[in-house]
Amino acid sequence: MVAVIWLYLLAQQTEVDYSKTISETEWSVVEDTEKEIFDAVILEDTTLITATSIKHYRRLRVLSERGASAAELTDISNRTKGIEGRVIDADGTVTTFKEKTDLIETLGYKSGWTKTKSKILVPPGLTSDCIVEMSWSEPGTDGLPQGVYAKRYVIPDQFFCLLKTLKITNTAIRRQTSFLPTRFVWTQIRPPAEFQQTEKNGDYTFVYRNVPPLIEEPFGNEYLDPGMAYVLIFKTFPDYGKEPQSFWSDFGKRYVNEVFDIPYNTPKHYDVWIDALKKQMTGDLQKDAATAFHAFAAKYRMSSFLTAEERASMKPDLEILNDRLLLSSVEKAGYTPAHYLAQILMKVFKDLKFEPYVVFASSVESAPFRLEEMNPFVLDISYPLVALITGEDQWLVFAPSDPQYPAGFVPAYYRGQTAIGFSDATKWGPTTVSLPRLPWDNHVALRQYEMTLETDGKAQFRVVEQGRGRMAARLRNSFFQLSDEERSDLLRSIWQRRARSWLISNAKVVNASRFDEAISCQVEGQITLDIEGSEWIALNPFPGDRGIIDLDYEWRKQRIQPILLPSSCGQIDETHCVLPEGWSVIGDPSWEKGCGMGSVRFTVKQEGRDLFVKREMVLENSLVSKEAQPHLMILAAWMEEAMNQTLAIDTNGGAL
Amino acid sequence: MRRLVFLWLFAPLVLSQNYDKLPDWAALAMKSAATKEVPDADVWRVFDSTSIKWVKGQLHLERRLVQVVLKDRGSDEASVFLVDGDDQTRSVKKLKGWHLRANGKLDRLDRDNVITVGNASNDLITRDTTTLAVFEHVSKGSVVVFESNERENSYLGPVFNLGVLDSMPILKRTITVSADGGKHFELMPLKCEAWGLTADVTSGSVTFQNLPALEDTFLLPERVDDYPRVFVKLHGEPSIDARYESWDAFAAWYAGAYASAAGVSLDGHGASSFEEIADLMKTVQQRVRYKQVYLSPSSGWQPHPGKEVFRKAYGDCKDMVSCLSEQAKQKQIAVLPVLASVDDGPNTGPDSPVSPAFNHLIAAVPLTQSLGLDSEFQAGGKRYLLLDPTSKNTPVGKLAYTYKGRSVLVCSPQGAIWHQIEDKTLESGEVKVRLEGGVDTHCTFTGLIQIQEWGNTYGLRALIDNKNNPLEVERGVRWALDIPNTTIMSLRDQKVNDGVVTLTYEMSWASFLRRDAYGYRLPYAVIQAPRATLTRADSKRWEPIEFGFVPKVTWDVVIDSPVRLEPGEGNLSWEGAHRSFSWQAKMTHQLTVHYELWGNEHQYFADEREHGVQAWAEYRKTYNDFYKSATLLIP
Repeated sequence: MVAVIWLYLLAQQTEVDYSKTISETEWSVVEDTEKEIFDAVILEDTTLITATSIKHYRRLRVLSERGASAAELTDISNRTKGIEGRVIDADGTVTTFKEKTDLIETLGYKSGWTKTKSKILVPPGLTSDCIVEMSWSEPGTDGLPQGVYAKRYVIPDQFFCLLKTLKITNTAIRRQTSFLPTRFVWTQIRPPAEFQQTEKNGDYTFVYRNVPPLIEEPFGNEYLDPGMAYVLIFKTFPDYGKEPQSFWSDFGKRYVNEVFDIPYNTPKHYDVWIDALKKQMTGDLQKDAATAFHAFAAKYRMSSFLTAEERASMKPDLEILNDRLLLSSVEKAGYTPAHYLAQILMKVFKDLKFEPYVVFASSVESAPFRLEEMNPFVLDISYPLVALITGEDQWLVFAPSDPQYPAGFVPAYYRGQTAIGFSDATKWGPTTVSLPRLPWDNHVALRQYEMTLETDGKAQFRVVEQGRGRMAARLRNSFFQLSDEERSDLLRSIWQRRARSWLISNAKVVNASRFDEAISCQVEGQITLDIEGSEWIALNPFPGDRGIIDLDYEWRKQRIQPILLPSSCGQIDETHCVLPEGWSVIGDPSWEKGCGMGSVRFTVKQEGRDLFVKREMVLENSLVSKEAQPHLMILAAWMEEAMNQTLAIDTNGGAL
Repeated sequence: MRRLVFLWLFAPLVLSQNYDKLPDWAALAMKSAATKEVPDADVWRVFDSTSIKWVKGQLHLERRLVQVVLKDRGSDEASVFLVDGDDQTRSVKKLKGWHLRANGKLDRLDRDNVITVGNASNDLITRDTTTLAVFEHVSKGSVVVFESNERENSYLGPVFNLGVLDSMPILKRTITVSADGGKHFELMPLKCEAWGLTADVTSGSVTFQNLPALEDTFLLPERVDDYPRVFVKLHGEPSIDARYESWDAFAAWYAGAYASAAGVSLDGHGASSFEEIADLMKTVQQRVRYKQVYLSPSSGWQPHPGKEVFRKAYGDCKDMVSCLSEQAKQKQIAVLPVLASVDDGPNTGPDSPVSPAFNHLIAAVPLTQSLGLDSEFQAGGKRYLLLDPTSKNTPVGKLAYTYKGRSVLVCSPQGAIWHQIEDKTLESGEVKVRLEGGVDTHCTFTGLIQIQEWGNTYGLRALIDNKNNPLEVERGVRWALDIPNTTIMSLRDQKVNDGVVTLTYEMSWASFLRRDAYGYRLPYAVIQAPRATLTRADSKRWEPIEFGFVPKVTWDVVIDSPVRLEPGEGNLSWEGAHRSFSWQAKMTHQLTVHYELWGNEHQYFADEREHGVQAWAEYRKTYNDFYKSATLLIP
């Protein structure tokens, strides 16, 4: 009897009354640009998480054609079921819909023995002035969707939300085992949005009101948006403790230690190789670590750093034992999977008597890592970094799966984050690691042009393009996997596309496949400029160039999130052009401008027939507050100006 | 010289293998290729064959490809074979593959490397799928071979076009038709000579040799029927053959099929007032959102019943016509379906081979009297009004500019009524922009920008009519006028009067004036950048040349400047064959600039290509000289 009543009450709790009249207040919701109410408003959104299911209810006020899309459902996971609802048009017409009649199933994916379906629901009767109510559910286990280990319910939505409720019943997480128990954490929300949290008999309810829409901003992170709020439900690792310090200590000793401890059974070729490497050590930690890293990167390469010929002959049969990769099998396979590289690098550094730390970080684009959340899923466990201490809170960081970058370089998606490191030097206890951001002169694109101009308008140039840090890596990524002939061919076609009317006659890439040598690209081109009947010609001193960073994004007027650019960087282009006798530059085309974000300088000097042009563009700061946006946009405008500037060359012996 | 050296380096590496492990037809193709000049490309398709049969109401297609990877960066392209399908109408009966590696090892296509992906989304509700067959470990020197057998239940019957060119050079392309038991067929290369391609036509096959790669370059034709193709029509099913005997037969067939699917009759009387027509259009356009739904073999051609479209409130062009028919039925007004082809669709007309070469459906409503509207026409003693319910923002009585030069086919049970769209029917497209304000010593402009748009030229009216939020409209303005994202714009005013949009923004534009040569330039949004050459100095244009239509855009710039800026030229106009511009500029107490640019469409095919090259060269020289000198603002 009790069970029947309980089931009845549960059913009552979840049943939607689709005959209820919609209030005038809800009908009268209109667009309000200041509050960011446009296209649609979520009147009410409820998620109920029980032991076996996750039930959803949503009521929307649609205000435009674009807003109508908020009511459409596309489910490629094929988990959604029990969809039903109604659309009430502004003219009073009511159209109901049910899964059986209105849900469209199509093929999602089919391969070998696997087949999935996609479900699409476009509520019938949906216009650009209506209210939509709908409900659906999906199967769940232990408070999470089936097959999912972590789920973050982000409270801000695509549209303004009047009321959002998330309820976790005590039944959802009642079945706690010591293996991967479920936990949840939540955040509040900043005004003007409102938040209330209640708990009764183990049922938790989180209520959020007047939530502004979540906006995607270029180089932003929605998790750093002041309006961000979420409820995070996740399975933790086996009971590692309830306090952050003990949790991470257990995590290090019981998980990290097992995976990253020294792999056993090193083959002979490894022993010979490490002995030879030991002989190259000088005692200077930074230098030795860089030497070792380059040697490691040349020996253990992922498939994306093999030449095409090597890739074609690689064999996928690697031997793994207890999560450790057997080094003896790497030689045969011809490659090393990316997520084992950190393991091997740790071994190499240990054999060389360094004290390496394996470091886990979260990406700048996802939720930041917070120790107190005790959530390992937010970390990028698969592609860790390896770091050495070089001073007090000073770290030399290596990215084993990004060997094209120099030692000490941290990939852009980790830069500036707080990470967590583990080492047997600290008995695998946790250490907080601040990942550095390097100054702009660590990432510089350099081009040096030699140019000649003849009286008949024929012009030739030869350019050597090099780079430091990320700029060098950018070059290496393009060419590493190709043969020498193909590198030339690709370089020529890239420059031809950029140099437009010039004819690229020669192109060569040097040191493309050596991580320890500077890569450079050498290109030659010609053009015949049209000087007939002209008193002056327009000369582009840097044909075929390109910028250091693409800033051509949509920038909102009032930015909310901080700005996280990939890195500070610079570009220095220099041209030495030999002009015919008597030809000269007209006017004074030199200029320079600077602001808090960086600077642009364009310098022109003529000495006799020799013309020297230098263009320097510097992006000084890459992690700045939202207030810096106007300065960044201005800097982008100056960079574009400098990229398009030509020189006027008087061909008439100074008549102009 | 460089190219010959390149060929010499590659040829022996690529074509020196033993091909006996490949199927006979592929081995033969490779042996034949070994005697030919190797092109400068990433991938070379040495054999491409499509065989077509019509068997018991079903289309049988067999495709065979043999591709050689000449450069490593061609590996990805060569390693994939795509089959477009639909789990109800098209099936892949057999799919085989062979990969002969550069080292001589042979891989057969693995079942696990055949993936079929559904193409549905909530914008396109469809059963369409794409099947990909993929080989791994493909590299320079690989020979990749695919063979497929496909079956298609085509609602339209065996009438279609097959493309000839692809993104890689093709040594031999063959299309073969076999007919059973005396049935006959038509196999016709179209537009091939216009591209300088020679088709070898025999009974039952068309063969091309040494087809060049179709690369992404500019001034290429826009419409699909301007590209070389082979028209295929198989006869043998009396019910299908009958509809393709003539345009009258086709139109009558479609009228019946449409009426049956829409659940309407094509009988009825004509409309007699503008108001009743405008009312019908408004009801449909306000209710129905555009969405494509293709869930059955006939979905591409048969509409959903009008009542159902009204209930669901979404559908595509033919659904909207069906819904219009349903609404009109209630007033006993007849609505006839009208087949059309717009945008990049083929330019089908009464002289085209009878085929379903249309991509749009609109409506024709008989009139009892003239209503004085531009989209009226007379045929066979009757008066009709053309209506396009899909084009929500076009006034009743007009059609969008995309119908320029097109013919439409009114389908009635009595047969075909072709109508050539006259220019007066079209909404005129024009845009005027006014910039007024000042520049400071950093060359930042601060002031107002006002945009006026006629005829929904840039889609701005559509954005506003669909009640889209101001950010969407601003995005549309930036895209249309190429205003950089570094500018800051705030909407001050938005008006739509008689279909004309006026938008006014407050604006801050950093580096509005930028240094160049020995003065300053206006932004590229106002005066476009210098034109590039059509081809590199060491190559020749082989593709046809098309100058596309450019709607007239006028810029009026009035700015206060801390420094006097004299324009290089005060007054300059040029009208070329296909492009024209006009410039007036002067400095008094302000700098004022008036600039107009517009262009007409024209195509240069076959022997006329050289004229097209010269037309571009003339335009380029004139424009670049104008840009260099006239538009330079000298302090």
